Amino acid sequence: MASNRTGTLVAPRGRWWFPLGKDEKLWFAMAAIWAVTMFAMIFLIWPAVGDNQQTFGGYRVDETEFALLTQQFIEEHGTGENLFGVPVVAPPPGSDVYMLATRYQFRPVVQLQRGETYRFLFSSNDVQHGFSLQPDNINLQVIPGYVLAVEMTPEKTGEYEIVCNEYCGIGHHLMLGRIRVVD
Amino acid sequence: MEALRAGSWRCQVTGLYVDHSAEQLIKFNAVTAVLYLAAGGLMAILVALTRWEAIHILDDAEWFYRLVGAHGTAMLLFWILFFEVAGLYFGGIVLLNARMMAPAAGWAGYILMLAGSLGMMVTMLTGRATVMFTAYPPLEASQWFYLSYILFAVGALIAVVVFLVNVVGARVRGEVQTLPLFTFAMLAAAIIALFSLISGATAIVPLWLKSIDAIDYVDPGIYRLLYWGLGHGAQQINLAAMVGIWYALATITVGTKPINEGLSRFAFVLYIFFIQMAAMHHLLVDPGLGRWVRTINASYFIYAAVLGSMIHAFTIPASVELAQRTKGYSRGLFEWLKRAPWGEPGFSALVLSFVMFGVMGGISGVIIGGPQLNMLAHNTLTVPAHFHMTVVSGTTLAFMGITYYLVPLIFRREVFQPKIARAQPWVYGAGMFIFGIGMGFAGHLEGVPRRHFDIDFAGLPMANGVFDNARVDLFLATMGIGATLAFIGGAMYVIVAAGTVFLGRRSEAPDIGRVDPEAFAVPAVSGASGEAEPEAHRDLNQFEAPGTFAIATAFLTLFVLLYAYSWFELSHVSWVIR
Amino acid sequence: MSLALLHGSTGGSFLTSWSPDPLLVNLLALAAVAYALGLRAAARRGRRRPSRWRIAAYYGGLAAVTVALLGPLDTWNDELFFIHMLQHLVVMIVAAPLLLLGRPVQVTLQALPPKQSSLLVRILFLRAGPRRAATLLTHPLTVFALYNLNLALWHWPPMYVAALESELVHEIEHAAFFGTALLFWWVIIDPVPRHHHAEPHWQFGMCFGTCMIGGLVAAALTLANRVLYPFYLDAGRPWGISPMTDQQLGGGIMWISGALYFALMFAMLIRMVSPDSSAANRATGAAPAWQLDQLRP
Repeated sequence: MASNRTGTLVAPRGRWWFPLGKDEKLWFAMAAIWAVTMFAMIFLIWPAVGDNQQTFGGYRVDETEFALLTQQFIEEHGTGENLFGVPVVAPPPGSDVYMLATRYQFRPVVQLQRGETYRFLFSSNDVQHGFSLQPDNINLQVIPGYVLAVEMTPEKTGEYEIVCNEYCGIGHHLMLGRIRVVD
Repeated sequence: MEALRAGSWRCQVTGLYVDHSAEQLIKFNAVTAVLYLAAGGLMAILVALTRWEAIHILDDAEWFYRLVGAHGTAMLLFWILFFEVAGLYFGGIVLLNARMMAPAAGWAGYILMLAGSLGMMVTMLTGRATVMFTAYPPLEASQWFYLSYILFAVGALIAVVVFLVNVVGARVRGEVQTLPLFTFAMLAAAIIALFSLISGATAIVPLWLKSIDAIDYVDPGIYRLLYWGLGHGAQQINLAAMVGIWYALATITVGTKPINEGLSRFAFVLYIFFIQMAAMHHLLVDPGLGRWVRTINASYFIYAAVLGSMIHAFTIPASVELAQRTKGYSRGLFEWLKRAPWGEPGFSALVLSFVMFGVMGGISGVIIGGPQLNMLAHNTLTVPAHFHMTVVSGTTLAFMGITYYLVPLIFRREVFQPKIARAQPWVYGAGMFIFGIGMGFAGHLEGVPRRHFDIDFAGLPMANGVFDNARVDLFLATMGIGATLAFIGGAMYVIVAAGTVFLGRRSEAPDIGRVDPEAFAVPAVSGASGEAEPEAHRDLNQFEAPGTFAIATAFLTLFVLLYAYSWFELSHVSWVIR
Repeated sequence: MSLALLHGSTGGSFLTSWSPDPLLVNLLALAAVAYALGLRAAARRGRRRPSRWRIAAYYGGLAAVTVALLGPLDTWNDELFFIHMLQHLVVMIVAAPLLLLGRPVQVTLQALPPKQSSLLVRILFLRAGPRRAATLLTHPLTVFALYNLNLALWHWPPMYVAALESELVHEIEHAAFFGTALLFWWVIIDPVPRHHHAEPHWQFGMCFGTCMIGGLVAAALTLANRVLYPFYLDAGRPWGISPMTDQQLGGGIMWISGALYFALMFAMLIRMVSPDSSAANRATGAAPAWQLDQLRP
């Protein structure tokens, strides 16, 4: 096959540019169409029909102030119960739920009603943490100095464990939290 | 041809003139790279066998976290970058038959990289920088850690600049008109390295300043933004280098000539333009970034970079197929593949690296890089599973493959234990495959977190047995088994590489297996006249590379199915999230 | 036992509910008879008959249309979304290609006396205007766009519901689906004149693109968190299927039907590399005798 193609370790000589063959054009078109399809999924279809969006808000906050707000939240809506030393809070439906990630726990433990929407406000007062809700595997980043605002609605009752999945120190693997969903 | 030049020697196998300074720098960088691979590998097996709950080899959480950070740094920064710097000097100087410009600067770069890397390793292993290689503030490390990080980055930057100076110099002197495709790939890698390293510096310098009390505060959110400007750009450096090496291995083992040079080069250009903007997929579940920014960045821009990879995903097997069909292996859809030189370590490394990178690493990466689907993956083991498939099975295996050709040639020694070399890609590849399955399932199906010492939470009752089930045990054990096999494969590589360097029999024409005779030669065709000849017997109604089309379409089909399935999984999460 | 399952809330049995529409019945009968007459006339003129499987395909296609538009799939498409989906799928990817495999246009051209057929050819293909229009219409991009835009349009909830609420809109919907499908398969299977045949690369691309767009629509249906066509909320519930399940079933069926396009793509590739493929014939310029005759003025 006489051609001007050169190997990849050799400098091509003369005019080495030749037009795309049909194979390449077709594949490129297919890859581009696939990319557009994925974009349509992310941008159009899922926002229209899906339940798990990514429209959360973020705010800046002072770390100590957030810790105080969390404490107020605990005092206001606490049930008086403690789960393994962490206060349990039952906020009213539709309200703001403060959750503080701190070395090494998520506080408070939150009790929610199935089918109701709550606005979770996540932050930290020391280092970065990872909010990982199991077993549904919802994962969010918690950064001190910032608040992550997420509207969440549980659809099933049960106990949900919170695990920290951003390295935060020697006790990282002991850091836990809990969300309880009741009828 | 030119007479023998002072300051260089002529390779009897390839005909290339090897500049002495370039040779020394290549040797030092390559050997340093392999030493870090060995060290990183030891750390890897310790970490993996700790995450394998049944074995849990490390008792001490502090050591575990130190080693996770040190392992990541030794591998992702040092093994990869020292090797790439060696590749830069090879592609930018030796392959162009040029004299090296500014060798002193090259040495300065090496010394800084060495000092910086040693500083980082020492501080991490002595517990003064247990912050993981991402070093997220407000976690704090010793000032020497940050200083070493900066020194390393500056050293790498100098090496990149030396490469660019040499390539531009060769162009200006008229010694080369168009770069060989391999060098072009390295050029793309170098350009991406320029702005990635600068972005990284803007992230790390404030941390250093804070550690010496020169400034008060480093915003953790902004740090993440700047750091990942380094972070994913840095991965694209590896990707460009890896693809360049794939092309090189294909030419060396099978004699391929790219199906379309312009298209392949265009794909590299796509990487350069779009990867920086696409880096935001690390920040998809962070506070403070607007929805539009995340959506556009994580889709529109990354897909442009992904298109670059899709092009290579086609052109590389297509080029191999064309070369094979020209040799006469033209029966049916796949004879060209069946009759390819599977025994050559370069070819097996190429294919294994290509398949694992594309199928396991690439598909998973695009899926978890979407704004909504990212919620299911962020900081779970799914993320390291993805990048172990891309960098460790993909890039590393490709680097291992090219070692078997370039090291004997540069060091002018026979390959040490070629039988081990031939088996090595298979052992390592199998190990990494098993590892990837285990880690990926643990993260994706079970939500197991990354960088985590004890998923039993020391038996704390608050854990409610969250990961206490047989599936998690099975997946982590699979991960451990895969890691062990990969460790053996890695050891085989180190043995062959180090053995060749220190024990291989000296030879001016080492035997590097079945190599295409035209791999390093100037094309002996009428191309000198500058006319592009029309392709003979090219039936425009036929596919030129139908076998590749079948494979590529099958790949795309798998991609579509896995992608669709991920959305299906997301729709089954029992929480509404907005 | 199974018979009981096939009885829906409409009171009738699924398999035996037919809704004969006089216009459609006449059209189908005409199509069947005309083809048979055409075959006989062509044979009398000494033309080669299409192979038996092609004739069977044609009648199979007619049968598929009958079942889809007059049979159970039509009667129940007010009650169940996935039945409506099946109906359209049968029309578009079963009936349309089968009909075209029977080469009805070629048979018609062969059956007509030479004066009429060459007149027809002259009107349609030897005048610049109609010829250019035909070329534009049969360009793979046009065909692909028409087919898929039409598909997407009719799945948009307002349009979908309009078709269920108005008989006229429903007829238009059927015609649109059938028409764009015929055009799609026309350029892939065996058009006249031959140069309208989509090249292999274009065929491949068309199939792939159709999969993608169909996939997006199917994804929306299967993954939605709510019923997208509220019409079905009030419909009867044969077999006790809930509206959400019904919708997901329909989406799933649509998705799986995309597999047909993939199968085609692979079949194309395999045909390319088998030594006795007709692609090789095409490359050498061989063409059936009748085709050359038709285009001679």
